Amino acid sequence: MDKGQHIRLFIVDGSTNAAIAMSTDLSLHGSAQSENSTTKDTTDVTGAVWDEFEITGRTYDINFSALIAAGTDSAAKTFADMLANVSDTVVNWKIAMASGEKNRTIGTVICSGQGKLTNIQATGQVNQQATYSGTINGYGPLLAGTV
Amino acid sequence: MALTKLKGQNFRAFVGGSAVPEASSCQVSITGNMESAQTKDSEGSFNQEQMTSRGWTVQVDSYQATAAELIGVINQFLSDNTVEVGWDQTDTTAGTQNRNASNAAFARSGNAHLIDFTLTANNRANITLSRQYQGNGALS
Repeated sequence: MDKGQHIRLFIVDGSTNAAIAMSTDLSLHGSAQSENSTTKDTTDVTGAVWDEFEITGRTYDINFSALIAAGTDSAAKTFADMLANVSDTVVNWKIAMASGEKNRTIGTVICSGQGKLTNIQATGQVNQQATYSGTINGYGPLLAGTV
Repeated sequence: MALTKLKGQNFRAFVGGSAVPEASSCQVSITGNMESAQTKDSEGSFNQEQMTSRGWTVQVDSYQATAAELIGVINQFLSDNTVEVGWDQTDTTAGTQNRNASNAAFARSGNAHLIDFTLTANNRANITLSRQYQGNGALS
């Protein structure tokens, strides 16, 4: 069974897929709005009155956490890079299987899309690792990968 | 005939006719929407409600790990089409991974939309996937 470190968030710069450096946690949450679509036309011969629904909208967001790098690592997205991305501009992202050195080699893409980095929260507690976490709100379609 | 107790690992959710692989928990909910039918004709002071509609959901948590499985679930989320979802008792035959449906008396299935999912991939932890299906129409 693959472990969590084998699925990573990559930020796409042009044609370069850069993993979040020293990332620890990742979650992708999708939610669909459904509306009760039952009308008087709905056949209900049994009288059991089961509800019927149609999907009317979808949203998703991505939450990630990472340690803050003291130096720079041009091969990955660091805290400094991600701070610059908190804006109204969209970022291209991929969630993919990762392998290779530092688990940063992108493999099979599970899903991808565009989003806006809406929040960065950094924590620096004495005698603890400095960490930060962020939220990317999906902007437009979530695209499933192909095997 | 004595009743035997069913273990959680043998109460399983099925999606597309197959037991959800690597599932750790599932929850089935059927809810009736009730409306007060109290009128001036009703005698006494106690409420009398009538069921006007019914709905159902199935929640499944699993350690779903392969890229193909995860992509399959995301495609379910992106589709406007329903998928067959249900629950059943599974048998304990060795080598079956508790995945064989046994058509228990309580087994039910119907068509449902995948309306919510959360994929977590944390460092040094198992990949987990939680998803919720909302029934569309009748259970049978």
